Amino acid sequence: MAEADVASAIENDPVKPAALTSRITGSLARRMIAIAAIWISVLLIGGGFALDRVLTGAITRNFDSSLEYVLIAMIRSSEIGPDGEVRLIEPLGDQRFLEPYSGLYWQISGGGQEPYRSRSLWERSLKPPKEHIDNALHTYNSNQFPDEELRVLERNVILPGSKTSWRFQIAQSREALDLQIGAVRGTLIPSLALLGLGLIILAALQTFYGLLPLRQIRRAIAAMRGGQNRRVTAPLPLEVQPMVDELNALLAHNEKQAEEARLHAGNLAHALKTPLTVLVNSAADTKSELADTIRREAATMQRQVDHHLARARAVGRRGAAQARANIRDSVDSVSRAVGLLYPNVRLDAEGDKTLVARVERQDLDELIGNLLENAAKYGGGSVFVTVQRDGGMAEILVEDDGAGISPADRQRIFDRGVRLDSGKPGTGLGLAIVRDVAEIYGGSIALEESEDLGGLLVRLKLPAG
Amino acid sequence: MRILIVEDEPTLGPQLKATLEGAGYAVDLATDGEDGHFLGSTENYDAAILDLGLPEVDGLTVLDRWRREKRNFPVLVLTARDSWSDKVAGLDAGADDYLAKPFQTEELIARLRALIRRASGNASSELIAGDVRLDTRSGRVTLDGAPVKLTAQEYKLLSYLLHHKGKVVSRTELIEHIYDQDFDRDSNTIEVFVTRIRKKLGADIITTIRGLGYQLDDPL
Repeated sequence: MAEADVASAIENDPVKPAALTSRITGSLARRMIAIAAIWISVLLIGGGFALDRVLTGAITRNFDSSLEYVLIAMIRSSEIGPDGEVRLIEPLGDQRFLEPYSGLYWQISGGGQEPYRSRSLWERSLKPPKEHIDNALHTYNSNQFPDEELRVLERNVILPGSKTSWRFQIAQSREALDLQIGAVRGTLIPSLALLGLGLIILAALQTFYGLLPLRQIRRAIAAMRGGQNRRVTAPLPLEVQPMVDELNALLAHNEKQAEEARLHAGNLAHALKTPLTVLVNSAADTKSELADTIRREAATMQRQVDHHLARARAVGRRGAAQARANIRDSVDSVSRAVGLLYPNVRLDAEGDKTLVARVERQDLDELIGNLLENAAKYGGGSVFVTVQRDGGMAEILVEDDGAGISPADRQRIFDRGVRLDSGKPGTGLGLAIVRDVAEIYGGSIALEESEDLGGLLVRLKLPAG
Repeated sequence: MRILIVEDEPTLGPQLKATLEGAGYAVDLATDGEDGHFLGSTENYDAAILDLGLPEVDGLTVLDRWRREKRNFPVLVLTARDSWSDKVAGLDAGADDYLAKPFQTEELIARLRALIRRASGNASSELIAGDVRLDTRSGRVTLDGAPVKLTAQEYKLLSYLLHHKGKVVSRTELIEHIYDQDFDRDSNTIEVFVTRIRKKLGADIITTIRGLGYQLDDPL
C-alpha cells in the first residue's frame, strides 16, 4: 500500500519538461547579450541624434553667416534713387547674381513698386512672406521654387531719405548646404553603426568570458557523470563556488547513501546465506519430497541473492579520478583464489608487473575474477593472462583453451542472463557486469580467438595510471 | 586429525561439528573470534575452519594474529561475501582456501581433505629439460624464465614426456595418458600437439623416433 502511494506520488510530481523550462528561462548568455544590445542601440541612436543636431547646426550657421555678410553688403551699398526707388551704388561682386537660375539671388521690394531683383532671378521673383514686419534679420527655408529649395535671409530696412520700409532678401539654393550635411551624416551614421556593432561584440565576448566558469562546471559535471571525477575540484570564481560547494556536498551525501545501500545489500546477503547453508545441509541428510523441495528452493534463493547482490554492487559503482590499482597484484591474488576453486585448471600470467590501472582495487578484482572464473569454468583447463600497455590503456588478455565463442555469439553473450553453456552453474551475469564496470571507468571489452591456446581471448582495456 | 571450527551461527556451527565428527575428525568449536583465536594459538590443530563474519574479533583479524604468532596450520575461510575482493582479502591474510556460503558439507569435507593433504608435504617439484622448466604443483611452464602458453592437452603431453625424460614414449602410451576413456582416439592429434609444442618451445625439444614414438631429452 505504502509503495503504491509512493509510486503514484512520483507519477503526479509536476516535473516540467526540459524543453518548456528552457523556453521560459532561455539562455543566460543570450539574455545578457540582448540587454547589452538594447542599451548600446538606445545610447548610440540618442547620441547620434544629438551629434547630428550640433553638426548640422554649425554647418547651417556657417552657411547663413556668409549669406548675412552679402545681405549687409547689399544694404550698405543701396540708396534711394531720384524717383524714390531703391538702387545699388555698385553691383554685388558675385558673378552668380548675373547668371540666370544660378542658385544665388537677391531682391529688394517695398513701396508698392515692382521688386528690384538680381539678374539671376530672371522672370521670377522672391515672395516676401506676410509676417516678418519688424526690422530683425530672419532666416528660413523656402520651397517657393518647385525645382529648387532655398535658404532665405531677409531684413526690413528704412533707408536714409525714405520713409518706406524696404525688404532686402538674399536667397541661395540649399543644394550646397544639403551636400555638406549629407557628407557629415555619411560619415557619422556608419561610424556610429560600427561603434554599436563593436560594442555588442565586446559585450558578447564579456558575456562569454564572464560565463566561462559555468561552462567549466558543466564540463566538470559531465566528467563526473562519465566517472572520471568524483568531485568538482576546478578553482572557480567567488560567486560560483558556493553553488559548487553545495553540489559537492550533495554528491558526498549521495555517495554515502549509495555506500550504505551497498553495505546493506552485503549484510542482507550475508544474513541470508548462512541460514541457507543450514537449510541445504539439513535437507541433505534426509531423503523425502520435502527435502528435495528445500534443496531446490534454496538453490533458487541462492541464485536470487547472488543476482541482486551483483546488481547492487554494479549500480553503486562510481569511478574515482584518483583510484589506482596494480594490475599484476590483482591478477596474481585473484588467480590464486580461482585456482583454489578450480584445482585442475592451470593458471599462469605474464607481463608488466608495474602497470597500474585507474580503477579501484575492488572493482579490478571483480573484473579479473569474473574473467578468470569464466575461463576456468568454460575453458579446457589452461588459462593464461597477459598484462601489457597499449598507448594510454592497460590491456589485460585472458586466454583459454576451450571451445571459444563463435563470432555470431560474441555480441549475445553480453546480454544479461544469457549463458551459452547452460549445463554449468552460473547466473549469466559475469560478462555483462564486466562490461558495465569497464565502461564506467572508460574501458572496453572485446572477445577474440586465442592464437596460442585456440579458445577464447578476452581483451579487457582500462585506462592506465 | 584435529580440526578447529570458528563459527558464530548457532545452527551451522554444531551442524558442521557433527558432520566432521561423523567423517572421523576430532573437532573443537569456538563461537566467537576471541575464543577461536585463543584455541588456535594454544592448541595444536591439523586445520581450522574460520568464518569471517564473527562477533568480538572478526575472522580476518583472527587469521592475521595466528599468522603473526607463526601458527601455520592450514586455514579454510568461510565467507558470505562472495565478491572477489573479499575472497582475495582472506587469501592475502594467510588463508589456504575459502568456501563461499551457502555450501554443501560434502564439498567442505572434500576441500578440507585436500587442504590437509597439501599441507603435509607434497612439495612442488620441478621438471627441467634445457631451458624448459615445468612446475608440477602450479602447472607453470617457462622457457628461459618466461611463461609459455600451453593448452591443457599440450601440458599433459609435455609433462608426461618430461616425467619420462630420455625414454622413448609410444603414441599409444601418450594417447592413453592424455585422453579420457571415452575420447575418440585419433593418433594424428598427438602429432598436432607435438608440432605445437615444438613451435612454442623450440623445434629440437622433442625428437621423433621413427616407428617407435617420441623422445624428450636434455639438449646435448
